Amino acid sequence: MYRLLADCAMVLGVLFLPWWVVIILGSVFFMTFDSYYEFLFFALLSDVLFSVPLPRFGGFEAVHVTLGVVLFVSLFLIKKRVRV
Amino acid sequence: MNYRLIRSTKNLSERHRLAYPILFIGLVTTLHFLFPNVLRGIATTVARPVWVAERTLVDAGSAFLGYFSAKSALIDDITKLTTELQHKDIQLLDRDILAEENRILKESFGRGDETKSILGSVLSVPPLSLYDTIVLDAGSLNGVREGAHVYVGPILLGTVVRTTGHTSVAELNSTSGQVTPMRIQHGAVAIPIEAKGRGAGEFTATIPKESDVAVGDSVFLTGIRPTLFGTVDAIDSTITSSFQTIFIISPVHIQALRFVEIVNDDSTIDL
Repeated sequence: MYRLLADCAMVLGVLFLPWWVVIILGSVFFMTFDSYYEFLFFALLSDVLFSVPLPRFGGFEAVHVTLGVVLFVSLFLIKKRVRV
Repeated sequence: MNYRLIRSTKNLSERHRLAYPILFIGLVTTLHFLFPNVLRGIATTVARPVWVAERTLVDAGSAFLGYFSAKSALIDDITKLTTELQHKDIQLLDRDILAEENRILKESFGRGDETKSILGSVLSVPPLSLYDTIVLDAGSLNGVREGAHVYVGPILLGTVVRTTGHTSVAELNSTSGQVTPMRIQHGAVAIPIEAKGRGAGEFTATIPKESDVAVGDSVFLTGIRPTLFGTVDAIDSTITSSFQTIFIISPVHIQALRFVEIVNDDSTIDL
């Protein structure tokens, strides 16, 4: 139930909040819930809705997914270490 | 004595836990870039009513909060706005005459302004993503095409890059790193510049110190149509440097943006 509410909050976050707030929110949920894979889905959703080929990213349109994967792996490793 | 098993089955399963979602998202992302309109179409169909509902709620909330405003504050606001409006009316008295004269002159030289625009409501504004884009509620089914220019009055904001059925995504000219050729109008002199976007409707340009520029000068886009970009907000120059940095600001407040005009096949400007 709480996880579903968290997912709803993340969807609303992607639609209405600045990207850095969504990252913080997602990181908090990642630490709270077990295997919060939705984190990557929301990064993809953000790319799907807002991406355009910008020169500053070399025309690359999966910036949020890439950032999401890097964060996902980092948070996964941090969470593992913290539990040990 | 117990020894820790480095390559334990637990470690292996944890690696799988990490690898499978990344592989899955990688697969979905690849599919998205191979068939971009499928996922984008679904996502925007779901997101559009949510954005529209939020706008309606915000409008209703503002109207409701208006009931609780102090009467004296409202009277002050009305007085101030009425005075401002009277000044603007006086300044704009000859505007229609000049615009009509301008149109006749252009037509007589075969450069008539025949552009038709599509009204679009703004669904989302930066900084929702790292891309600095705005989402509009008009898409290909409303006649919007990729490459169309987005205006607020005479001010050019950006270009439509993506369209779906009922939405489109426009890239702003003020996006960080975006370079746009413009000219600063200082009296009768037009100084060509290359303005670099800084985000949130701000630009910078570096020009020789000898160039005469003042705060408040208008910045236009080159072309037959007088397309305003912004005004010079500040000038930074040092004694030792032979260049000066010009800070340009757009008169449009991006975060408060509600409606825009979308113009297809806009041949009146050079971008």
